[in-house]
Amino acid sequence: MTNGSKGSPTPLVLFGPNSSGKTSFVDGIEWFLSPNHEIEWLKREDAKEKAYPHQGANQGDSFVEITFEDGNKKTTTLTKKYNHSRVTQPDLSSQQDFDSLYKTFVIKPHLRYLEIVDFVYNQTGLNKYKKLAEWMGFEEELRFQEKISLQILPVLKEKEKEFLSNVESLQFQIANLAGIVRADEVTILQFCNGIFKKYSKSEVSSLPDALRTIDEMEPMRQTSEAGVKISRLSEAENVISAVSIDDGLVKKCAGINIKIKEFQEEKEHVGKIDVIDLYTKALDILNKKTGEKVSCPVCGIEWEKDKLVEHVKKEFELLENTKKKRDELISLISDFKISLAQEKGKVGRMRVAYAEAKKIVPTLDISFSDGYQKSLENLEQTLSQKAINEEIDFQTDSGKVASVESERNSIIEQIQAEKVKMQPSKEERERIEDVGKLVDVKKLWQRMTESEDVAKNFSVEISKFIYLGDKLTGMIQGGIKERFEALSTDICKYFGILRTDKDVCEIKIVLNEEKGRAAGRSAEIQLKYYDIEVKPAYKVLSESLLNSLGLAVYFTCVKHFNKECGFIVLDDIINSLDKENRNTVLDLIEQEFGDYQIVLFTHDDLWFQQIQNRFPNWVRKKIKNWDYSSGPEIDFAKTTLEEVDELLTDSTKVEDAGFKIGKHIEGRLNELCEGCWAEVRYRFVKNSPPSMSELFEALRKRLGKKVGDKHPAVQKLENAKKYEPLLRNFMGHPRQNVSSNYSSQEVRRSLEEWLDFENEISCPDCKRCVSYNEQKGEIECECGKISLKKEQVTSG
Amino acid sequence: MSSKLIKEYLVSIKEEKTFDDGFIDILDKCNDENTDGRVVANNIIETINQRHAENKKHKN
Repeated sequence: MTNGSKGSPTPLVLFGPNSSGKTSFVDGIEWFLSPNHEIEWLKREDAKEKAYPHQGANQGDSFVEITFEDGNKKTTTLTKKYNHSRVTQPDLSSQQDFDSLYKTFVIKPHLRYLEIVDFVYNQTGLNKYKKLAEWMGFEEELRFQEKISLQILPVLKEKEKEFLSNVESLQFQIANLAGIVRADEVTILQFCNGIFKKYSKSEVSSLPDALRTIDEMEPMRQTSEAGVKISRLSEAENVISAVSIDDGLVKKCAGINIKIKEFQEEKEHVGKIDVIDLYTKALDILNKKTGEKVSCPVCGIEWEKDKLVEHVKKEFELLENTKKKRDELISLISDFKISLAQEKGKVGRMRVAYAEAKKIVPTLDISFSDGYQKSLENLEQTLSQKAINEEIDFQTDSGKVASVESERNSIIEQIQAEKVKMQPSKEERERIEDVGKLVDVKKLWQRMTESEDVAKNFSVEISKFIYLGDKLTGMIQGGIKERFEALSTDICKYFGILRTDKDVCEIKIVLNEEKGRAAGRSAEIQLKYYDIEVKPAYKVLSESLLNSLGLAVYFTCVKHFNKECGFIVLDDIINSLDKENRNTVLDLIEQEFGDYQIVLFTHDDLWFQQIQNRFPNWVRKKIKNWDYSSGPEIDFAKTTLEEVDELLTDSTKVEDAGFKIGKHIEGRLNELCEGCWAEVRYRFVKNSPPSMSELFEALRKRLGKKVGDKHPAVQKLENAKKYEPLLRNFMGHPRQNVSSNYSSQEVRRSLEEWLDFENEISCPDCKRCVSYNEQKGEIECECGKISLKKEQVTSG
Repeated sequence: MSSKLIKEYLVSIKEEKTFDDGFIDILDKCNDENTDGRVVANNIIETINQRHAENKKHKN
């Protein structure tokens, strides 16, 4: 086989009837080229490694050996030998050489007919995209793109929302305190000026001025001892009222503990997460192990060899899953720490206010909040020390939290009662409350502007990340699209070669970018069919067209991604095409894959003949025979003319030679009559094909009409036709009991006359016979080099 | 497994000098170590908070 840099390799065609063992060759090649030593195709039939060799084969009998020749004619022979005692691990002639071979292709360089059908029909958009991602090697980029859009951005957006909601909450508190609908600079200024006016303070026009006036007015709360106390109590009350305690943290903690319990069940895998990479290398290590039982190089458990690979794969998946759970847990705990810090800050502020109020009302009982604060502090300490798989001990529950909240409400009530007991004058109480409100509004406003600053900063930073994420995603998608577009051009070109008969164009692999449809992660084949845009292609195309499309996609991917691999093995792919389109596969191979070594298997003798005629330089082989003990017997295949030549050297085989010549000429006449649009008598009742004589006559008439009766081609056809009665005798009757009246010279002469005509109408370049070109109205070969024209009569 | 192409993209983005270097480094590390997306998000939040605290410190 030819591999490495491509030159002018010699393709090979192997003919074998059905059940003669052709597919076993492809199976052998697949096994040889598989880094896992598997035949994927046989898995469909549940056949595993044990089923690969001949049932009667002994150790050492089953192997595949291929000699590769590179562009410099350097040869390397690689052997993969089936090992009966280690069925999944064959003996390789050289691991290094095989590794180099595996690296030469991205797409498997062998294609079976049914694989085309599979790709076109049995894949969803997402699966098709994943298959293409695997072929084109963009799986990692796809995963990274998903990480940004499906994991990172949602968390950042959530955080941004949290900051904004904090600002909104403070705005709400200010509005509530000042009795306004919405807290902004204008409404707050109005509120402040209203109170300023009441206490003969000048109206101000800006909020900073208002805040300064509030500072000036703050001492007005403390005109009497009672006033001072009421002011302090009001201040404390405002702080305490702004806080509310709920069991959100308790619930979060319980949720995390459930996750931790689940994670604890995977204890045995947790310690191995850090060595996860070892599992990817484990298979390589296993390849070198011998003996009936071996220990897993990763987990140490003793296993039977044939189950070991499966075990390692399973272990790897388990560890990946455990790593995912660990990362999720880390993220949850990280979020929980933020919530805890916020709760501690809130309780801290509340407790400072409690302490302030307690100085005036010593009977206040704050024992529940004491306990709650301690449990928050303990929790903070626990979290900083605990291992990932240890449950969180919060030392509190929803009941205790409810007690803290009841205690808070009770303290507010006691403060309010105390303020009433102090009995200040109405004016004094009003002044204390008004100034207290101003002071609290000022504090809340300052907190709000600070929160707004944090939120704005966060939004700016997030937009920087989104800008970066968009750029990166754009580059990833651009790269993928570029690859698709590069392929689309060739798919279109190859399809155009395969199907000249249909108006299908602009074939593209299209990234599905619509929202909600696995955006950017699925692909379909789109095309124009008689000017109508169709996506997905399988919706309107016939089976035959879809198969041509599948072939075009496969050949395109091979061309683009198997740059270092110089061969393609094709098993009976013509099964997927109609008879009239089979020749176009040869056109595609000839035009686009001339520098690849094509190894083609076929069961179709007609196609085999066509390949022989068209590509005389190809190595032709046939499966002559098959038996159970030795399998298929392969021999060089001769062309019909070579066979006739050989028969004519034996005078007893003249009739056989005559029969072969007759069959050959009849076949060619049929092709020529069809190609040149010769008119043959129509039969409705009699269901037999036109006779050789009718075909000769029809072709002669047609050529005569187009190029004139004196044209050399018509003359030569006339000469060949003279031998028609002779050939008809060989073809029409069984002659076992009648001796032949014809000599080998006569039969040879009939062949020579025919070949003289065939040479006249065959092109040495495109290797095609002439046919009628409707556009030009002329009889010519496909490349146009041989063109039968009337002028030739006068010039010749 | 890290992606060579993602690394190349990030290097080229960094060279443009119009994107946030800190975030590029975080994504680069994420690619190298195949870190879970939510852990990466928390690293980004932490970075943003640190930057804000630093800015505030300088202003004061």
